[in-house]
Amino acid sequence: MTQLMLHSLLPVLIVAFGIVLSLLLIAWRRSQKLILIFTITIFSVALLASFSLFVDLADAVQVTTLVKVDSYGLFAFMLVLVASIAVSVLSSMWLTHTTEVHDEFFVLLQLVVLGAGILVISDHYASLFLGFELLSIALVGLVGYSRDSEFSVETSFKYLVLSACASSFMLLGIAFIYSYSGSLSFSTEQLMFDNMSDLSILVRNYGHGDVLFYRVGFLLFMVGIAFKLSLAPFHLWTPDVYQGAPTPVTLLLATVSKIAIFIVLMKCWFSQAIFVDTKSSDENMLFLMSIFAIASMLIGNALALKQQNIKRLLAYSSIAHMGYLLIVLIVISPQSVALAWQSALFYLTAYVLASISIFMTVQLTQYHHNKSELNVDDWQGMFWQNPSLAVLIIVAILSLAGIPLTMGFIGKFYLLNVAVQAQQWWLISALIIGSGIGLFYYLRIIFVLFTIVNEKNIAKELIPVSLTLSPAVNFSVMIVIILSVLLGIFPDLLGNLLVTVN
Amino acid sequence: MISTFIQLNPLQLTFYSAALLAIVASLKVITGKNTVHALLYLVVSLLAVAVCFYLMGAPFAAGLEVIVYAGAILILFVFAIMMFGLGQDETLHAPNIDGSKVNKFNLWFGPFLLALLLLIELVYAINSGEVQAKLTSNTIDAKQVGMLLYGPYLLAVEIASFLLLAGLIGGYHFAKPEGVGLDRKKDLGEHG
Repeated sequence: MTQLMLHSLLPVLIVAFGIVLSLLLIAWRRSQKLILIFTITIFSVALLASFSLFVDLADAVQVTTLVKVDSYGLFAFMLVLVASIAVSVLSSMWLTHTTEVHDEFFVLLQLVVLGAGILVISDHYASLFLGFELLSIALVGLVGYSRDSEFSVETSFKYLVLSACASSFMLLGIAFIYSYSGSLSFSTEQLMFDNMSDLSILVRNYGHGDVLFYRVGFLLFMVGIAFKLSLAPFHLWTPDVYQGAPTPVTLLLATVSKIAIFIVLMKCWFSQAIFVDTKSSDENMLFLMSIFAIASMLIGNALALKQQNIKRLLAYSSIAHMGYLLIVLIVISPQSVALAWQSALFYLTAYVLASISIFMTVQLTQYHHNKSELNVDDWQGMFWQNPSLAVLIIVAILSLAGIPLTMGFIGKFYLLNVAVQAQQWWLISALIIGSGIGLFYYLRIIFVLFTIVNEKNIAKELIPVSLTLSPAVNFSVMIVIILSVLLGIFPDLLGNLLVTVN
Repeated sequence: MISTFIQLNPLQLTFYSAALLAIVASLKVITGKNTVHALLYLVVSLLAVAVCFYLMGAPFAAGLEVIVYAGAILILFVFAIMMFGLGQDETLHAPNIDGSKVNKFNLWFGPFLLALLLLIELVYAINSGEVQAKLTSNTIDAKQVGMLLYGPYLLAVEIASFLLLAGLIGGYHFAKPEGVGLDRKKDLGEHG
């Protein structure tokens, strides 16, 4: 391994080293505050490392056959780290209820981030599978973390069993793909360059089997990915797990897990010449992807309409958002791949910021109400009681709905741009219809925020939200608001960054 | 279809019959009502998969399959069944020991037959010169696997170790008794 390779792996290595150090730290002294500060420090250092690498990196670096560090992956890892810092801060509010020291929580959190880091830079089905499993197994531990809560066991069992099924489907799919291409690398052109042993030469001779196996393999592979992204036919677990998991973990599921899996899907998809090249483009697979996307958009939005519980509502809306995002996969020329990457990363940034804002508010108000189930009505009249939190939600909701002057609007605009270039009119109409349905439940939340609480509601024991925020919390709320508004009004700040790197 | 089946060489024939045995045994695993009986079929299924690996020229993978799955993991299953103390669930579908001799024979006949077929196949594969000549031409042994693991796939080994750590910590968290891991300082009323 050369110095360049080690240097480009640095962000992931920092997180891995952090895990080992936290184990030592736990052995030395069990203290909630210490491990929290340590975890946030590790994430921040990794964030700095990936940022400097993101600025410096001239070309993609191949580190062994397993991993390929490029600037898209690094940007995604930065998003993952920002989301994880938010999760750590949120969990510090939640974990203070009991006298127990929750070191495992932070170790598992770091393991999830490590898994995500491996996924976003992987270039090989083996590293993809290992990262995928690391992410899901650590998440199973986190989803059922609060063992005394009502749904903890049910939730983590649901997640464990279903994600094990998804992984086994994916593994079978990878085996089929291998039987066709004779290589576990994403891009088959890679085959020429790796001369690791006589084994690979042996394997190369078997290559290029029946294309049917390849299609079936990719379909099964997509089952595993679609489960994690909660795309339409495989979305059934999402609302239950979102509802049952502790709020910081729900944020983790909604952001880190989805970013990592989506980025690895894009890397895998774009390196298959069969999908990107116009001449050899496989119409059937593209059609199938469009079905996934359209079904997710419509089903997610339609099911979110009647939800009262905020977490369930967000779960359904996340299904729809992943559906929108799938549009970027349907490109028909290699030239538009760069645009697809920019759109996906911009959209994910908008999605992450909005998710962080909403879950932050959910955590704060949930703590205030001291109840595990938070309904939309619990936010009634929040604007009059607590304007800063209400503004945070409003900005986030408008961004999710895709109203102009927010990041979400620019993100959707990018997606439309990609779809128009690929001339996918059905996808565009589904996107518009889905966003239209989405407006209904998004705007309902905003109306609730402005409703003045009258006496009839007090009789129903709906206490108006009047929580006092500590200065640190207030500060972070302000930062998130300013960041979302700033990037919404000047999207070029981020857009140019994504363009210039490559 | 039958004609293509006859055209297969002995190696392929043994391979496909071992694969068929694995499928039959796996079907019995998921349809069986009694957990311990299902486990018995699972052993047979795993052994059949091991034979498949052997016939594909990967004796190392076959050995691992037997040692790790049929050996270690199955034992864990048995321990788990014993420790959960399933009680009613377990005894409900248990065979009636007082029954006739035919009944008892029925109990072990299925796995016995499958295992016997597997044994015959294995003995045939080892004895037959034609099969052995094909197997030894491209064998992937432990040395090759090891060289790959500590060469290009070094990172995979490292990631796998973190994967095990994640499983360990998650399992510990669910299994630990209540009240373990209290903050001693908070208990004493001092500042953390």
